[in-house]
Amino acid sequence: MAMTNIAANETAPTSIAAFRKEVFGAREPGLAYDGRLGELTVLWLKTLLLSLLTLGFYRFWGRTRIRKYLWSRASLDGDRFEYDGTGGELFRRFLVAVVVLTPLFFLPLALQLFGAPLVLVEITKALQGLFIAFLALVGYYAGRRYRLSRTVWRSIRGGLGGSAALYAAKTILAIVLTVVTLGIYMPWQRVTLWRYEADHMRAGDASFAFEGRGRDLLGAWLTALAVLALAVAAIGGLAAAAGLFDPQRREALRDAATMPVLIALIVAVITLTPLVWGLLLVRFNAKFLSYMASRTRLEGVRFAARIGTWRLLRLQLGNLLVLAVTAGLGWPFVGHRMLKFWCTQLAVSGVESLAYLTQETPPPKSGAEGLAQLLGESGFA
Amino acid sequence: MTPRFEGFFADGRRARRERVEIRLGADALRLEGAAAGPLSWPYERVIVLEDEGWSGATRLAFGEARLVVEDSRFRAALAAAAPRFRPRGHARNLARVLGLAALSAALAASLWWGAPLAASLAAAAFPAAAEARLGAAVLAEIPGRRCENPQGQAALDHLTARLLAGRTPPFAVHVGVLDRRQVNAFAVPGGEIRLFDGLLQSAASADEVAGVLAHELSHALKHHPTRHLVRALGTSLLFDLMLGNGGALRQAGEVGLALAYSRELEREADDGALALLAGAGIPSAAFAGFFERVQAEHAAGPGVPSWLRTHPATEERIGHIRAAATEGGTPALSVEEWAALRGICVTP
Repeated sequence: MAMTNIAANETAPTSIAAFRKEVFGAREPGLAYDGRLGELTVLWLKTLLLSLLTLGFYRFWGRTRIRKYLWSRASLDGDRFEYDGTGGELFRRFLVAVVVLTPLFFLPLALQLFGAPLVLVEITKALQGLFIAFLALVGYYAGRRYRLSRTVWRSIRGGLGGSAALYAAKTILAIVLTVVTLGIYMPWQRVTLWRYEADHMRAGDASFAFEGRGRDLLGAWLTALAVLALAVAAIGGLAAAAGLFDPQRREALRDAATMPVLIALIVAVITLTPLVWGLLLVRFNAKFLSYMASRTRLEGVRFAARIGTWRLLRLQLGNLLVLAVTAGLGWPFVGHRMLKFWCTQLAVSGVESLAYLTQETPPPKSGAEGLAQLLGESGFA
Repeated sequence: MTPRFEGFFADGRRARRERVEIRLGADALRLEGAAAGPLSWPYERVIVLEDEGWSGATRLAFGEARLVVEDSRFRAALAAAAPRFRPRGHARNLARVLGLAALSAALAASLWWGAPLAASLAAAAFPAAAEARLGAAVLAEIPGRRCENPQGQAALDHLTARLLAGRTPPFAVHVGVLDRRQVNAFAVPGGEIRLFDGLLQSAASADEVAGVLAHELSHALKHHPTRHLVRALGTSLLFDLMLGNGGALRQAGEVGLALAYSRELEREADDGALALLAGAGIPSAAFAGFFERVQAEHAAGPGVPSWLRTHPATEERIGHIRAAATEGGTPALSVEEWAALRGICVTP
């Protein structure tokens, strides 16, 4: 089966669509996205206004409408996706989350006021932080589950099995391991967590699968770590040369011409390191995402992506800019950009085998992502 | 002759699209050409998928099955065949939005009026020990060395006792001076009150200090600090919940509510202060004079004196105090005591 290679063209959507129509005829064999910024902006403004008017109550319905728009603009093999969640579902679960979380927030304060020993209060505060982080992760996974179970394509519904609590625990453990190994564990962390999610993702009766290993990404990650270590060593070395740790040397160097040079070098390294390291991080992420796509499959369907560092950097910086400019309210535009990105970058092959996807029993609709909402995850993830 | 359309059908069991012919019957859609045979979809169980702003293909759902019709005339034909598919009128949409807006307005109003009540109730329910702990926690946040000069403190305690004569406060009242140059004074939950040295230095007479102290004592005796804190905690949480990620909106709302709360409480504290001063036989004209002087300084230049920021002075308040001002009575402190108080932050 020939791999459908979608050129990562950076021109406007209309010309990509035209190009595709030319090559593939009316039906696009891969992923396509034809959302328009103009339409999205109008919808966003409408829902924003209504949310303001109703002091925020409307935002669940607004979020649902925007998701319906974004989902319906994405298509696979000519058939559009569908989002059939409702604002009411989001609202109800939100209320539940509020009831559960409010006592939690007040617990340390209440303890303090009623004279509990200080030690207990401090322990509670620390545990509270950990517990909230845990709940945020649970909310994240539950949110994915909700959105997947409300995604329909060609009448087949998506789904996510597994346990959100287990995922949260795995994530926390993985982060601890990464810290303990001074960062070396990172590739395994990313791979392990994605594997859990992908292995539990479903489309109808078919399951996704991920066949990747952390080891394969170690190269890119070690490059980034090595640069960081080098930078730290360089700063240390330069500082020692400048006599930071040795007052006598400092005195001796005081009038020499080398001191300002050393200082300038230290400053240069300190300013350049975050930039270089940032780039290497993005490079690692780009490699990880490409790897993630290429090793994930759904029965006979295979995916591939070759995401470049600069492309990913532009995407992430752009998203940050959008969120900054709109004070976080512009998440629909981030969603739009992400969809556009993935629909152009992700190549899908074996689409014909999708015809054999079955859904013997209508899958259960899981509860909505109340926790994720309350703990600050805005919309698209 | 019922209109016929072409569409793509997926049965909800397999991811296959089949071309079908669609007829709009009297009370159901009839699909022909599917592998499963002819299908009938009664209109009342058919859902049109609203994809937001899309004018083109129509997508329908019937249970888990789906139908897509590319022909843009289908939507109109569907609406003609069954009234339930008519696009919802603008009037109805507007009505829903207005209804929701009215509901939110009602909720906001009840919060505005109800929150102070709830806060006072909550504060009243606070056991004294808890209030004292809360006060200690707040006090710990305020920087400034406590001034310890014994003569100054004695003068201050004498004044406090005089103002509180005949009243039994629900907690132990302690007044102290902090070594800060700002013109400020405040009461924390429980009976702790602090004056800044700046206030003592800029006051024209002991009677002015007595006025401010009486005002702060009133706040403390009426549990205002606790109410204020409970209210601030409560509304910020409430706003957080209502607006979710609208951080900026929340802060604006918070400040608005907090300010309104203070004005109401300020008025109560003013009345209480006047009562305390009268009970102690101290003239309250100086209190009004302090207000006016501080107000004038505030209007004259930038750098709002701190006391005004937390105790907003309106013309109405000043007028009220001025009207009730008395001239007669004994001075708040003797000349020696006043000198001692002014020097409270000078280490002997």
